[in-house]
Amino acid sequence: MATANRMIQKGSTGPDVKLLQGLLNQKVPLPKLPQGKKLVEDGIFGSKTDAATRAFQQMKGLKVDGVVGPKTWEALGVTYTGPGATPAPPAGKPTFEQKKPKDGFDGTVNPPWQMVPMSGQKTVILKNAANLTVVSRNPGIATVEDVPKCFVHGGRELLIKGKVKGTTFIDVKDGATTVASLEVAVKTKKTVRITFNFLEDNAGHKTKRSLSDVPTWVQKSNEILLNQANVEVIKQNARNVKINQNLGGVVRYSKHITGVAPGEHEWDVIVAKRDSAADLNIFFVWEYEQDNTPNIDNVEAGTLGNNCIFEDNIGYQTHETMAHEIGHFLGVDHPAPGLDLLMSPGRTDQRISKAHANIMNP
Amino acid sequence: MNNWARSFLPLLGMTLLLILQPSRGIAMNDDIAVQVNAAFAAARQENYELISQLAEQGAQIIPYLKPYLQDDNEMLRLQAVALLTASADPAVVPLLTLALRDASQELRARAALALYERHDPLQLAERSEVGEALRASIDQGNDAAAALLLLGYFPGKSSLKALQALNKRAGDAQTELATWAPVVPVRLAAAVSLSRLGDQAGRLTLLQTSAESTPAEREFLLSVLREIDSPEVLHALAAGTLGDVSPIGGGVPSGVQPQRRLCDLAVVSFVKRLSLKVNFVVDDQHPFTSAEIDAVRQAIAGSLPQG
Repeated sequence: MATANRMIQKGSTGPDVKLLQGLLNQKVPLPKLPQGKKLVEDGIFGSKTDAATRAFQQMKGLKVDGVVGPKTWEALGVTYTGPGATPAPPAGKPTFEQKKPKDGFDGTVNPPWQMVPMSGQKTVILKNAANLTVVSRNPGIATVEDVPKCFVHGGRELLIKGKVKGTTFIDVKDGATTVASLEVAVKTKKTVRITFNFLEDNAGHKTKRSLSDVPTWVQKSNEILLNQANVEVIKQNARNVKINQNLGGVVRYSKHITGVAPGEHEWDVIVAKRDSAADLNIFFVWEYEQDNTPNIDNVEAGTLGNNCIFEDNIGYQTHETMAHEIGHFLGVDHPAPGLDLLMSPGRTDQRISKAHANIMNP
Repeated sequence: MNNWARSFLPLLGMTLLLILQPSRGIAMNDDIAVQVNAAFAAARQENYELISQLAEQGAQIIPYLKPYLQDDNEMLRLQAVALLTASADPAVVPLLTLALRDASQELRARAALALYERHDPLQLAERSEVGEALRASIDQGNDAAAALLLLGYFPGKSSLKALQALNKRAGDAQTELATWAPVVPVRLAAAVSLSRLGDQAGRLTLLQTSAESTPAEREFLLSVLREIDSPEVLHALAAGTLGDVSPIGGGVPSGVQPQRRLCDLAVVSFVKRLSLKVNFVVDDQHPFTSAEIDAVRQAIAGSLPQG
């Protein structure tokens, strides 16, 4: 992980500014960067870097001041060691950590939590527990064993195997005393069969997306959802769909807005074309809006029940927004500002929290 | 061709058509069997496009799905259940009843939801085999909310026993009705049916949940208002939800602001459940004013006895 040892702001120069610019280019969606363009990574903290920093701070629910201090560095994934740095946790306390990112581990809750698929397994790291005993509170739900001859990351690797659906704990014991615990949720697989509908109207409006991309979207969505919540996306069908009316340049959901002509509300016309054999239908359109200002492009997709309308011009990778919308289909709302999760509107991460995984797949 | 031939040939053609008519009927059925088998053969190769096309054929495919409910391949069984789910034809009931005992919990849950959502529970309750299959499914570990709610329509000690046993082993397990519906404790879904079956502990749970619980739990109760028969619980739930402005999902697409509120869902649910007459438009999209919510409070007070 990269480190930084000072606070920087407009006027600063140096390699840490260059590091910041690179990270902002990765983490701030293009439409939110100044003039919709990537920053020049020149190590000079000018007006554009300042604006991008403020956009990032707003996305993360941080104080919007353009100053990159301990909290902003941390939110960027950089270890901050300068003045005001958070002291390291006391050495010697047994601690569970994830083996790899986005693999169903949530270390932000107490006790930490790990999703394990039923009849499957996950590996976690246990630090500062070389001579301690590790046991499962209910081996009927999940068992735990050391990965043989594996002592990595300064800790032990533990293999947890899911037996039946349920919740249990892995306890770290010093004699009879439990000194640390990991909550384990064993989940059965939940399948989401999706039909991908590529729309065209009778006035020449047509999605630019291609049917040939569907397998990649499915595979990459599964890297997010299957690994973290044991939710598997399956392609039910992918097809072109013709709507025999002019939907205009912007497809709208507007039934909830007073004063908008009923003809402007096109959601119902589109979802009437759904594949009834699928669990979820995704309809790709050229442009979609669901507020009172259809000419301002600030929405990428909307999901209601078992239908989703998804536009061409999005600020994120398609599979990531797709996984986000599938999360809505599975009952998850946007979390509070300040959290950086798959379900956050201004996300830079694809992490699924314990709370969200338990809604997606109870 | 002579005149005789001119007049005879159309007659011969019509006669042949009439003779062939019954066999054309059989041929149509054979044709559907071929289509169903071809769709499932493709599904075995992980291509589900033909299954989607089958869904457009309607009820005529139902008799041909039974073998696939017993297939070794779980995804094929799931596709068969999904096709049955898409139909409200009573012919699917025996097949969904069969699926309630599937080895996979996901399939058992899907079958229960299809029965609960697509069929009249009072008519289902006349079929004792459905009740037996539900109890067996719950004993087998099916804790899907739909299975628990449906069992509330099958009175008798065996249903009470199945739900009480589930309550004991449920712990803090969670369940849901539809995929996008709120996730709630299994014990709450069981309490709805226990209360319906006359169990006092179940009713007490509903009263407590109506008064103070998470918005998700009260949203769940509003979504299953049809199953709540006790005026006492209905009054408590009305009091606990009509003034609650907590944002909830549904009603409008994800991301739409302002979000729907618990009190908006309460208005729609109570107006529908009690057939209340109100002088404003009741739909899922618009937030209701304080005056409209007050009107619903008064209508409930005027139409539902206090205990």
